[in-house]
Amino acid sequence: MRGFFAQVANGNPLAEDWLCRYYDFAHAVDDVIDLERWDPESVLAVLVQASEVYAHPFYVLHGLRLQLPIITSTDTYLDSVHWEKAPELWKRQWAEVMRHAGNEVIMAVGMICGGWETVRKLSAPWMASCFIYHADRYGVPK
Amino acid sequence: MSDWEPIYRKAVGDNEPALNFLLAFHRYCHEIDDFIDDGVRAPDKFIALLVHANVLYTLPFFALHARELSAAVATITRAYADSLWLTASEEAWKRQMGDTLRFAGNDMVRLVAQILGGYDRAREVSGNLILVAHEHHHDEQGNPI
Repeated sequence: MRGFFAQVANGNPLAEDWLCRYYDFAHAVDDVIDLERWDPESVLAVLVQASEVYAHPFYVLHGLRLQLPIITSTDTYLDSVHWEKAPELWKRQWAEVMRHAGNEVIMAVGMICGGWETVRKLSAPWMASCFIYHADRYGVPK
Repeated sequence: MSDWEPIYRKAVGDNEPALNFLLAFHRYCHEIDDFIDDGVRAPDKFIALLVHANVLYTLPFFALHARELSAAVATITRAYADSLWLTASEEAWKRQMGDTLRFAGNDMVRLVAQILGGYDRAREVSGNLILVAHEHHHDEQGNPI
């Protein structure tokens, strides 16, 4: 993961560090929901993680550019939570893609650090690796 | 205007971004409190909380003082987490400790006052925060509500 984030960050160590922290944060959110960790300690720990991610120097510097991808991708992720176990195959198929919406945040960092060429170079291979890693969890055909 | 707002205004002086941050932090803390108190287990409400966290922590005043304020968020959350198990205790002294710690969020107001007006301003607002917190969250016999 770190190697990929280094490519996205294009030599910016703050960006690379923020991506690692945002990635951990997103997975912590996912764990609360997927593993139903609704106890106060788990929920509060994620909320503290949020403040640390958003107080990070890279986010402080670029927060206004990162905020909208974060919010819209969070919205899409939540849609995927509702659809990933839906009886309709097409909803599960869509959810399979939508649950990777957080990749938009990664690509927004790529845009900030390396511009369009960096984003174009990395986005498709990254989506492919996401598919290979996660395929078929909810009965979606390969 | 709530009973809190005059205290927040005194804490920030004429700094409107700071007032916006404190009012948003106040709403956010109450939202967390409701989430925990109601034993919510709903992804939609959890995600809404996280989006509100993002909005709060992208406000200009937070961005300007992110390092200090983020450390305060962690210590306030830790104190609030302690208050949860303390207030549920059967031992009176633990419930009393918990009843005090559940207002840890007020430390954010004190910290903002300290940043903007130094120790004297933090002292000016501190006592009123305790009085209003007690008045709003205790019945006439002084029991926590």
